[in-house]
Amino acid sequence: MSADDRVADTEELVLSDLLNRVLDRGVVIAGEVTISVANIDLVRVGLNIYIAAIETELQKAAERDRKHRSLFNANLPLLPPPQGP
Amino acid sequence: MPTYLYCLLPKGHEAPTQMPVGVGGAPVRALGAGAITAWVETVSDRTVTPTLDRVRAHDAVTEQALASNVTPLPVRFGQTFDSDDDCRAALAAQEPRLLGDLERVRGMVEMRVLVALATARTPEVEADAGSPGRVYMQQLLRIRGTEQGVHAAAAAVRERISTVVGPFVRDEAVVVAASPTAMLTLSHLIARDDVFRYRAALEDADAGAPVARLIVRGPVAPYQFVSPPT
Repeated sequence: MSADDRVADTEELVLSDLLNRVLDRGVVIAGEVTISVANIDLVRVGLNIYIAAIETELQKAAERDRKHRSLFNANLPLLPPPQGP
Repeated sequence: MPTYLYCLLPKGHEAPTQMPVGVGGAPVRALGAGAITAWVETVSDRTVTPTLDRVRAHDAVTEQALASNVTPLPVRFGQTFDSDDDCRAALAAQEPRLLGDLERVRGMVEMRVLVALATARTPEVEADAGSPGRVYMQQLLRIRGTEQGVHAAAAAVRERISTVVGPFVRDEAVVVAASPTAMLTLSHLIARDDVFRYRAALEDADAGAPVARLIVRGPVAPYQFVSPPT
């Protein structure tokens, strides 16, 4: 594994940990935490799926990053819009 | 205007003169709520879409609270209220639990050890290995075997790490994930004064196989050590 790959892997682990910590841990005051992505409300019950989806997106982003050496846009929503039927 | 909640501190804790900018781009402010001070921001909408920048902004606010030498209770991303009064009312309803949590983490911080595990994968099932039912069962067994391998590796690594940092650890939370990456995440609640010694102990330790990567993060606010939602 190259030094660049090691750095990319480390960044991916750190980012994944940040998302897991901030989105799925911490005090819950309001009962259900409503997070909306692409106008779909994802409530607490779906958060594990949501986290898994984020991890998948992170993996894809890391792959794209390795190929293109460009950072993914930090302002984009963490999940892509849902695909049509 | 909606109120976005970041973290909670004991009443009387003075907010820094320069508060950070939050997820909505406005300055964070301190909101008195009974025996608790909440760090909040006025946002334009109750629904805050998570982006990497906003997640980082949320975390940065709790980091700043932690840097003020008082340990905050970090609040999960995305919690908004119709107004400051609604936020106060929600906090008042849970004040005993929240004060208990604040007391429990007083003087503490969370350290996180991220361990990527290099576990042996069981062989793929050949598509022509038999009937569809047989292939399906073999795939299930393969997945089960991989999970058991990950959990066994995680237990061994956890034991080695615990031996090294055990004297500093006041509480521990363990998360093991078999996919998409075999990962062990250890969260340790330790005293602020022990951060340097904790890090030094881990740097000197030999995690050994099957550790592919070991990253120590922190100190961070104790996200992992708050009471579960009621």
